[in-house]
Amino acid sequence: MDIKNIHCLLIADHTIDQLGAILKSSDDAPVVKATIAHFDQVQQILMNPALSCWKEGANAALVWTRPERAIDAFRRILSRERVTQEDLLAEVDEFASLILRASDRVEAVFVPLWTMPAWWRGTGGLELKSRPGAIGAVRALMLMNARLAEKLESNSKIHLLDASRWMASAGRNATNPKLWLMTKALYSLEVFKDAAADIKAILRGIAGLSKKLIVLDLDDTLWGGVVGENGWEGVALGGHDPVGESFADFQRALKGLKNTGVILAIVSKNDEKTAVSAIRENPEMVLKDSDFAGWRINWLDKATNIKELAEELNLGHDSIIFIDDNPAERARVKESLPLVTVPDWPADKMLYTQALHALRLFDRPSVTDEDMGRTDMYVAERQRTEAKSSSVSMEDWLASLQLKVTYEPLGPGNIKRAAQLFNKTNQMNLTTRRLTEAELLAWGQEKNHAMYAYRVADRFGDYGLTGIASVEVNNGEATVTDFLLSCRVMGRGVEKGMLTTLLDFAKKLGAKKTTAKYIESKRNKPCHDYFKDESGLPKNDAATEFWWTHDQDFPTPSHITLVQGDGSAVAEPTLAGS
Amino acid sequence: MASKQQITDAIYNAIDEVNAAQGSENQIAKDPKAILFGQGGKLDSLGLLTFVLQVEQRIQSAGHPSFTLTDEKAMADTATAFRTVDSLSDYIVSRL
Repeated sequence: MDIKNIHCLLIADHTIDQLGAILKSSDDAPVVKATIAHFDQVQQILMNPALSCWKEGANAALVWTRPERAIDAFRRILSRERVTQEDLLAEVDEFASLILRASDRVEAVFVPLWTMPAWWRGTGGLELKSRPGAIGAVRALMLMNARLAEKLESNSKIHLLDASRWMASAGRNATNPKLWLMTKALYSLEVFKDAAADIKAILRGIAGLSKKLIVLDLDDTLWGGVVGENGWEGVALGGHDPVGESFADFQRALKGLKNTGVILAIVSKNDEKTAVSAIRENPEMVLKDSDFAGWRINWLDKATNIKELAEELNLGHDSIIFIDDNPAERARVKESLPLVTVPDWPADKMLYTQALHALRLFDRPSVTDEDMGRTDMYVAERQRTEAKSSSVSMEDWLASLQLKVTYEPLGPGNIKRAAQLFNKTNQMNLTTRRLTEAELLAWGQEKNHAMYAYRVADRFGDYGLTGIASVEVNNGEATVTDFLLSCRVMGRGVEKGMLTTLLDFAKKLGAKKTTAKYIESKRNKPCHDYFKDESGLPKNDAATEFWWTHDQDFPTPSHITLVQGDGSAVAEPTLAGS
Repeated sequence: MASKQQITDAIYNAIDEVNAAQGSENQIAKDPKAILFGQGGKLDSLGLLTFVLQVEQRIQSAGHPSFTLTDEKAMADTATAFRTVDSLSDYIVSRL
């Protein structure tokens, strides 16, 4: 999905124009062009792809309905008519099928879950009960939302949104009966602002722009007080003290993010030995040293330390967020590393966890096994680096890794991770195409096309699915269409293993020559450097085209074992921790 | 009773709120002379009603729970009362 060209069709049974205006705002990226579909024509619009609103270039849609309008059985429940649970859920299934059908027309569909206005309370506790032929409205609403989520879950283009949180956040101003009666706008601007912010956060996630690394200070950020002065026994953390508990809560929230694939690191002005022993020995620490992919604990400039960490972890500055209680340190990093996100941080330590949750920087369309075990992979990488420093030569080191590269076609077992990798890899990426899951599968299934996913493992563990490459053959000429590899496994000869598989396929289909054309992007210079200097492929003068003629075999590196897989199983990396 | 300055502040607060949905070219200035309704105004009918309800909520929260800007009298006075920030402040003072 092209983040710079998002056009969302807003389909609703209530006035939603103001959400459209907020989505267009450039205060929060991305800018979303919004078109408002005809008011209160939801079912008709979802059902009919021939309607003009679908032909105006929208690549996303929002379907926001009132429960009593979308599901007639719920309207009857509110009128105290007899409705069975089966009838209610059958209507939800029908509505879900309309959304699924409409999802074929766009790349993303947003569906806020059903809510009732905050002022509505019906008959109180009775609304949560059921008896034969009668269901309380609140209970019915919970069942409806759960069923809708279940029915839409398998479609990765559909993103459910928790509208109840927007309502709670806006409080009694979330809805105004007068606004509804006079304008048919059900929700206030506060609700629309929250909704727009959530939609934009998901769009950033789809585009691979969510933050990957949180760099944390230690003193008064992960614990209260200065460890160098008080020792780890003297810092505020956990226990029965509101400030100590707030730091433990903050660490728990960070650990939760880490378990979904966000990497944690430390940059702190401290004595390293003192700080590390505090992390290891303080029993109240929720975060352990194995939760951190790396650290720079010294007295040097923090911006320099962050820059070094980013290089070590192979991450771009725009994927980093820096959290520090000290405004001067934040200002210094903001000024020196403008691409690093440095949020204002509350002076009140008891508000840290709330501030972290409010960031909306970590949304992603899905979480894979690789995501969940990402930090473990970095820890293993540290071990590899140690092995590298003890090896006599590069060849010895590569041989010692016992690299195994498994290539497989795209299928149900790997498409989610493959699409994620395809759309977020920037550095080792020959052409930087962006395709959805469905488009990737369709491309790979076309005649004379091959698209492989590559899994890489070595003696330290499994990196999981880390590469994708594709080739198409036409009239005896083959073209490498995609060639991308996670930075985690770059520079180990995996690239040559990938080239071997593509060239084998092209040769089998009768290609005399295979060409790879480099398309420059802002960040894919490492890919150009690889093809130019290390691939071993002949090139033109401008070093933009690289080729191999099939009158000779391409030399596969001897330190790699290439294995063909069928892609049917969901492989679980040994380092993924799941 | 709220002072005119307090009422103007409540109106400015409501302007901040509605500006989020106004687009950069249609921002309403926080100025007594800023036009709210009629020729030169930047609010459409939905925007004006949203704005009026935002102001109403703020006045109600400031100790006037039964205050309304959406009754028949207020709607009849729209053209003059809602013309500018200053005229709206005066109108609210007269209704409190």
